[in-house]
Amino acid sequence: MRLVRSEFRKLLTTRIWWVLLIVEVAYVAFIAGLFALLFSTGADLGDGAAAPAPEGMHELVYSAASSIGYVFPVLLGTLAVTSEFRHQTLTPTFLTTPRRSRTLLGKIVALAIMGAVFGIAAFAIALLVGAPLLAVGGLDTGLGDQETWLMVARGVLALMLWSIIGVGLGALVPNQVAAIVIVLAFTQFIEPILRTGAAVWEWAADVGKFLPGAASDALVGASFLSMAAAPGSSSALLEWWQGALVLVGIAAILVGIGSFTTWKRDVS
Amino acid sequence: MPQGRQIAVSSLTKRFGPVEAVSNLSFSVEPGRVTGFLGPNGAGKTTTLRMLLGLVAPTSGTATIGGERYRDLDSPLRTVGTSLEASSFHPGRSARNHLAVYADAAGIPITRVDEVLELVGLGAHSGRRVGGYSLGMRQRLGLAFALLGDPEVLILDEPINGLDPEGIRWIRVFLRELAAEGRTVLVSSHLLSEVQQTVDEVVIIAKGRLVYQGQLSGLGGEAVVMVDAPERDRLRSALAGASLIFSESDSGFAVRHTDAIAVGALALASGVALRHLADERAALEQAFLELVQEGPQA
Repeated sequence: MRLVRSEFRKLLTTRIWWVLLIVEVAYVAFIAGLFALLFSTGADLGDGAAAPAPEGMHELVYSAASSIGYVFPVLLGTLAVTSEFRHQTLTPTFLTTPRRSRTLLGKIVALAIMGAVFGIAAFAIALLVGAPLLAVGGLDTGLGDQETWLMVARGVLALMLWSIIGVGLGALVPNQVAAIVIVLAFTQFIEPILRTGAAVWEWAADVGKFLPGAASDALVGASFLSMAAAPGSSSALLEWWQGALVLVGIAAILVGIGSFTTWKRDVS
Repeated sequence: MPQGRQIAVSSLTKRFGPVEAVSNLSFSVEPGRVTGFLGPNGAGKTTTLRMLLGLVAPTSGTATIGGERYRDLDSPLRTVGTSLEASSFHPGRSARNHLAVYADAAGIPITRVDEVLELVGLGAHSGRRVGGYSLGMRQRLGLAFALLGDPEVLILDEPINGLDPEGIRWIRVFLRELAAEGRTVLVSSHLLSEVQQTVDEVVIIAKGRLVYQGQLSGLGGEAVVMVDAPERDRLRSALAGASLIFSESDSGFAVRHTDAIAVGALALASGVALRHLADERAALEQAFLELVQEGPQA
């Protein structure tokens, strides 16, 4: 408990958390608003092939919070670890808590809570921006629907898992610049390309659904990225609990390897 | 009243690839006094301290504090206070928050943070980001971290580096006070002169090996009388006339195998007015340098 509080203080006493939170909220607001606007004005999404069923539109809009927003908790988690290496604060950290795995555990719990905060903020802004725009277009906002709120809950869980994945990645790649490049390259470039490829080739779809972003979208239950990749393939996504397991597995593997390699090393 | 605990280093060895940074090093540090840990840069001082603190894994050998390995201590910060190099801070965090992070983790009340910041003279700057601190201020913050748990053992790596003269005077007095309270105080330095006035005992290492442990006075530095006069020629002939062994430099004469009283009496008898007369242990630094340059006897 003491260690979780210490890790929380680490997070909240530098600027990075609210910078990331503001960018996340702005980005999600923009994307959710854009989609809500497109749907409610009935804009042509290209021959209607990829157009979602009208009753599912609100889920697509709100899920921007996770399908777009997940990169921010990952970055927060990664930086929480790499900044300790970068600023050599591992020295006082390990002097205070020589049993290093306890510190890592404290970080994981603190970051999971921060991931929930980021998730709640992202879904709040997606609902706040998306729902009125959908309503203006006469579309279902889904606010009275239990399914919508279950999706939000799963989305918050997804972002909690993503922040833990960030911790694991930071422990595995302590070089801050390298870690950030990996996060951005993978989430913004490699995975979208792979998932687009999954829409074309059957084998790529089988592999693609295990990609972390796809697993995350499966857990949440909606994403415009999987919408784009989905046509004709009903097996494009895992079940939601399978998606959750994939994310837990990735987090466990990263944290596990990191804790037995860089985290164990000499601190000099 | 703190108990004080013995630091015991036994056959400690650390290899970095083919390089043996610390070789079969053994020494002990007793409570109730200030012990200097000396050696030139690269002698293995920091590596030894980091092994003692569980930050670096020894290749072989043990290092214990009060009989326990650092990582086995129940409450490390309340037992051992450490200040290593002056750069282990997140520049965006204030001094107060920096310490509060570790106070939280160690279960130390936050009020203690303000106490130690006041104690090291940073009270007025505690809310500022550490990134804007001078080297001397960082050094003081490092010391504040060491004092956070009011520990029985203090391990300070080059604590005088970067301090202004007023700060140096302050830390000397402070370390002596801590030792007088019964605490174990180990202070590393690459300069003997830096800690000469503070330490009771020294542990000297060179090339990763022990070259001397014991009283400072046992280092072989013999007593020297420094004497100077406006009329140097007359003083020189007076010294030579008394068959004294002396050497001459810009600052006057260094006379061996005698004391200031005898030299003063000689000057009076010879009618030479003196500018300066003092007993010194000037050869100590020289003895230290010879010791670390020779290195350990193989």
